[in-house]
Amino acid sequence: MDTNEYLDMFLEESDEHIQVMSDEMLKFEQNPKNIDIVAVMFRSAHTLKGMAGTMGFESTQKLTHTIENMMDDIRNEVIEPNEVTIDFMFKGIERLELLINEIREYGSERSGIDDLINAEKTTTKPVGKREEAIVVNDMEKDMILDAKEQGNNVFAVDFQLRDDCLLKTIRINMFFKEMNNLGEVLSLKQAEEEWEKEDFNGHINLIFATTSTKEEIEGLVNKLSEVEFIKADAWEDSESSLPEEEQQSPVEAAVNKEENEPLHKPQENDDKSSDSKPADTSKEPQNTDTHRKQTASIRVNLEKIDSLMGLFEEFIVEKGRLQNIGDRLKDKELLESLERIVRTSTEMQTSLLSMRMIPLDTIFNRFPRMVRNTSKDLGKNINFVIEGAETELDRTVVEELGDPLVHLLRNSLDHGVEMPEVRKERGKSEQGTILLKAYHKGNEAIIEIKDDGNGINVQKIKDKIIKQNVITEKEANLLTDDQIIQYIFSSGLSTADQITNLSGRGVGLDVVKTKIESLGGSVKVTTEVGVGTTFIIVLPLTLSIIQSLLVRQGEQTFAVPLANVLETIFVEDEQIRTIMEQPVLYYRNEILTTHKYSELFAKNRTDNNKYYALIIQNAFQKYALLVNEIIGQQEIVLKPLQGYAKDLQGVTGATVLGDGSVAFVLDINFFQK
Amino acid sequence: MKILTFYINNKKYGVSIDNIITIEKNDRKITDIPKTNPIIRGVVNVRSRICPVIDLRMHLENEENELNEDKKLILFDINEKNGALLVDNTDNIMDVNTVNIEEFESDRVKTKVVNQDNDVFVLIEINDFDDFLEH
Repeated sequence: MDTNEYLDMFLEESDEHIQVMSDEMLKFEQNPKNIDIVAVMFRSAHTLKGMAGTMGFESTQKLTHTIENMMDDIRNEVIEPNEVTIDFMFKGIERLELLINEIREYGSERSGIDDLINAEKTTTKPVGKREEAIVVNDMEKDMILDAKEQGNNVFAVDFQLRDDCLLKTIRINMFFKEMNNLGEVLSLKQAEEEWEKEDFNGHINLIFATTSTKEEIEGLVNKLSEVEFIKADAWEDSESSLPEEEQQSPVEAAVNKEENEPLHKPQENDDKSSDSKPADTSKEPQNTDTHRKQTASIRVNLEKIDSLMGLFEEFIVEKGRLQNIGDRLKDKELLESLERIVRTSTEMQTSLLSMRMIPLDTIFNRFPRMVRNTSKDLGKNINFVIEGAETELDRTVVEELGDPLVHLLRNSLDHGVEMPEVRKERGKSEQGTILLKAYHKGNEAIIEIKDDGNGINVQKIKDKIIKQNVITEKEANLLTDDQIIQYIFSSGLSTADQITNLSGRGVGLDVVKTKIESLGGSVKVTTEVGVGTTFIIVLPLTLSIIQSLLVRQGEQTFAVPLANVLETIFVEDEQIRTIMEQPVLYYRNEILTTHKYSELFAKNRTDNNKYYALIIQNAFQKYALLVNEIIGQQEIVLKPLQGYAKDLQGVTGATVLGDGSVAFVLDINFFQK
Repeated sequence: MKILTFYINNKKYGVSIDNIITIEKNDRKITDIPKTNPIIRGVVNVRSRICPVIDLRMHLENEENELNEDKKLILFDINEKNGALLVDNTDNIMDVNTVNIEEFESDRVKTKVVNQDNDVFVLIEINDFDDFLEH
């Protein structure tokens, strides 16, 4: 079978199932008595196993099978869900995720699973022996004894219909008819109503008294069609033959792995599972159904939306031109019509952008497990709360956010929240709380990561930055505490490991900041010693349309992201001084290095001696950019540079102006050192 | 094979039309690109795509080009790489039999030359720009 066309579907659905397992696992850990949760996980594992089998991904199939078995054992109370088994299942789910990602990336499974499969055998020693297929009550015991006394052979019979059998009830009735010819059914382990149900698995256990031999009973398989197997074992009071059979059946079933369903069936024959199974099958599909109905949606290729977006951008440019013409002609009708076009296009833009938006949920949902595992490793007790996971952001932004958020969460886990003993000493509850919260505010999305841990000691950071000559003591004294804390994002500081020890704040926060800023956002931190720390990330709702300040230097018009412009001031030539050949601007007690956009060009141009200085703040420094003219604030459509222009220095992209010409967008991080 | 011929400094050159999208008058503003190879004259906006302008005069004659509206932009698109060749004027589209395309090699240069009906001119291959434009 050519499975390629199904691969995407498989990957997508696998992700969903793994997510379900992972979510439910977290719930289950909190509430290990709740067998219903296991049932939900079981279903996901089971479907995943089936899909992996069909697609020929053996490791995934095997591993899911192992996990599934364990869930089944937990469900049937064969093993007790203790820390070891739960950990194992978490590990298993993680490995599954890895395997699926490998399939996505390389088209095949790369990681081994033997360690887990072997571990399963050792970690999950059943608390009791596996449950027997047939439990006999006293009355049945008497019946068996009676039958034996009358010279009958008593057999435990295992009957399994083929999975593809359509008219199960009829087949079973035929089976009973044949059986009644041979002897007497003493006890039946599945209620008759059971096999009339749609999802009946076709498996029956019964105790049978007969004068015939084992071979004769098993020979019935030839008389009946659509029967997988019939097994008859002489009944012994010790019941020792049955567990053996139990262990046999999964193996047997595993041989028939092509089939969709049979793997777990033979183990499902105790009363408990046959009761719970129909219950959860009816419950689960309903849930997903109603869920799907709530948001009727279609899947659209992202490329199509991007191309629509491209057309819309062209339209915006044309609209700009029309506005220019309208302003020139001052025709009343034209202007009115233009007004309406502007209004409609704004709405169009909003709805177009919303198409590119996906909820943060898509990355948030992998955090609970990460937090759980990390806190476990660290020996901390964490209550992890997510709020506003439904908040939507541009797809590109969401995809890029995963790593910085993981980083910040790890940071809070590692350095923020204290060990339980310490918390107790400080009079806090032993369980620390980390809140991950997202919400919209105006044209921005805000994500907060808040912990109720140590907090950051500002004085220690201050000492540190002075010691490391980041700023002088005099400068430091001018800064507010709030300003000083932000230095934990600066690179020299955060990579030094002493700072990790003394302030408790960590390595690589500069990476987080750089990443967030590359997405057009910003990050800051607020803290209170002993109470906690909050990281606040502010992001634009979309990447492709940004607010900018259009400026002109020489003949060049270019755009500067408005978010990075602190202010603009008018300066004359004499205000610009030179220190060691570096032009600087003395401004509000600060000495700012100054740059000109034309520095980027090989050709030198003569400029007049009056400038506007844009005071620009980026992650690392504050500097002044001199321009001849400020044209004004404008919303621009940021276009990526492709092909030959891709690796241009000093610019992050380009935009098409109202007159049809191209203007570059300045890379504010370019002028460094 | 169809070849578009054009002039630079009154010398005839040709380029295969396979990847050519259109020819436009050089009537738009070319925006300078910071710190780049001098043969890239800048970028223009063509149909909402940012399109680098390759100054063939600079490339072939090593001579700064005067910009005016009589010059032409030959727009091309190869594997998602778009660009425009800045030339003095375009001439004609002609059929060239592939047997008439010869390799020409001397001490200094190696190039392809069209030699057909007493007409001899250099054939520019757009793909060649990749090598020295990507750094």
